[in-house]
Amino acid sequence: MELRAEMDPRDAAPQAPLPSDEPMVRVRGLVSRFGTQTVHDGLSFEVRRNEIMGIVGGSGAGKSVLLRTILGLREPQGGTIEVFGRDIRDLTPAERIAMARGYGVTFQSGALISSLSVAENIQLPLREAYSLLESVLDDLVQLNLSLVGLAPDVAEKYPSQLSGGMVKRAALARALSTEPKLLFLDEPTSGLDPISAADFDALLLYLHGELKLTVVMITHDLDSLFRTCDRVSVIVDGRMVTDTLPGILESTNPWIHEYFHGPRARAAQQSAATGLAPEAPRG
Amino acid sequence: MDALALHRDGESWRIDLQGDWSLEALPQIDLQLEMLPGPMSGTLVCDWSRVEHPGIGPVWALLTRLRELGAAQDLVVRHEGGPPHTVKLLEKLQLELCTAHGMRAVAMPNEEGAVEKLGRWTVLQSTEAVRLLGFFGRIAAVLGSGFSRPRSLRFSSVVRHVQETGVSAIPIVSLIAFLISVVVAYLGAQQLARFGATIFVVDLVTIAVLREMGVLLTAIIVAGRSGSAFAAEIGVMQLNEEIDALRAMGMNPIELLVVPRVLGLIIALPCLTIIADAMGLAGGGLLSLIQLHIPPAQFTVRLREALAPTTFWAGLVKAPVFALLIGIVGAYRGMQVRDSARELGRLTTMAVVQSIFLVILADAFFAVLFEQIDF
Repeated sequence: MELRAEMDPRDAAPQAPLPSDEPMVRVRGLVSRFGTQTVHDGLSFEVRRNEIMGIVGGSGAGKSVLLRTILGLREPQGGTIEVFGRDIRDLTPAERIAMARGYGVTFQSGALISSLSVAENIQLPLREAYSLLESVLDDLVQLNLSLVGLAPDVAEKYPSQLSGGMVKRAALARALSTEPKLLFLDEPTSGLDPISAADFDALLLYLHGELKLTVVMITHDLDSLFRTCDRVSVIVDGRMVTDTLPGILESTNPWIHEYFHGPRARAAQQSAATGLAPEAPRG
Repeated sequence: MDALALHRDGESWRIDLQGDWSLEALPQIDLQLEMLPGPMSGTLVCDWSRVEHPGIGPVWALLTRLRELGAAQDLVVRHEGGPPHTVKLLEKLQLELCTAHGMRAVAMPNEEGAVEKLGRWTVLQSTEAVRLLGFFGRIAAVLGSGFSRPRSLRFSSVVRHVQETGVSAIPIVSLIAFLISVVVAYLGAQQLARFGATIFVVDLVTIAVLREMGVLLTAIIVAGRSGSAFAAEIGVMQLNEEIDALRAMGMNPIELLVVPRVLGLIIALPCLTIIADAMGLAGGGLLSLIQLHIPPAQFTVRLREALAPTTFWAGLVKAPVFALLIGIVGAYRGMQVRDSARELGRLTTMAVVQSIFLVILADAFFAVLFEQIDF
């Protein structure tokens, strides 16, 4: 153990406990540019503790870019980003790794490592972070699979053998494996059939209710948005409009109005209102 | 039958549309549209009553052409007589035409001059060079941290890559080394026979194989096999956002993906070189026996005389350097893949071409160096 004394991120100082009113994520004045094209122009928003925040915006509005910037995968052209109350630019590499352990991420495509089986994928962040016994790792794989509603035999399969919906679930299982307090989801229900999508919503509400997870979810799925989100942030013209769902519905911004009052939005609102009450996840 | 017939009455024009207006007929329709006299002014009436189901393409061609013809003199176009679905299609396409026309005016890229191209290329190449150096630095940082934290060197992963890049390349490397040295020995024998000095074939084969060909051939084969594999594997992971996912989980893709590959190659290439050397000497020996009737015992004696103490090492010492070049270039090109399968193909090709080029360049450098220090 002495050998990997100073460099090992697991020995980095644990994050100081965050005051409960401090936002989990705070973005201020974010500017993102690609060449001459400005995607974010002074975008600001906050994610509060224990809420489900939905992020919507037109195609190319910079939702995924925002997520990548918060995760530190992209260098912004301006503005500050704080996660767990720490500016992500002030972190040493070891601190950054320690911070990454505090959140889980799923990408649009799932982004499971294709050369590893589902079980190995789920174990990957655990192996990196902790020295666990093989038997414990196997148990945790089974737990996480059943949590996201996947059968135990999926563990031995490779990502290429899974359907789109299963990949998304397996990716969520991987994101949950390190027991994060904060979950980033990039279009978790896109490409899912309505039943799987509804199951996903139910799972999300369960995790949020029972495990007290804070969730940031990029989505185009209005059903999902109406059913799960506490607050909604809309990216319009490179800036962010954040409000509760009823507040957003009242918005006078033409784009937001069209987004939430188009024919699809009305149908989704009705189905959410007629109470497809969230149920506990299956399995 | 003509698809359109033009009538003129003073300032008013009339086009009767008829016959086949499907996409299949577009080439003929296009020709006829080209023959319309222009520019037109005044009013133009298109009569659609004799066309049943016009295709989108031909209607689009007609609208675009009419716009061209009437652009200068404010031609007023009216469409008449079509069934409801044709009217709707016309309305829709006219709307699209306005948008498309507006956009085309904006999006006219200006041609680049030769100087601008040269400048752009220079800037690109120099930033490339700096980035590659940075990439090398990050690999070195992980290797350096390996001293204090051996876990970061991923032993099991290194072993897997030694298997993939080394062990499974043994047959092809052996075969090629054997065959090439047979060819060299054969050509050498023909030339040396003129002086009656065929015994020197042994010297030729020994020095050529051990100093140059063994290691160079191996490196080129490995660049083709493994350099491309590194670029493609890492590139696909890049396309699938797998590398982003690793980063987001707090893992270092250089440590996880690049260093094990480079280390595996640094171990595998010298071993392959030794095998290639042995197979090359065997090839030379076999040809000497068959063609020149030099028995193996005499071949070995002559071989020992031809060998300087450094001959073998002069070849082998280059192997880890070549391995480093191949590994870094392959992995670097893979990490550069963004957004498309086309990029993946382009960068994989580039990885192979550049690593072979760098290997040969380094070999030339070694040749000069060894000459200078008399190695």
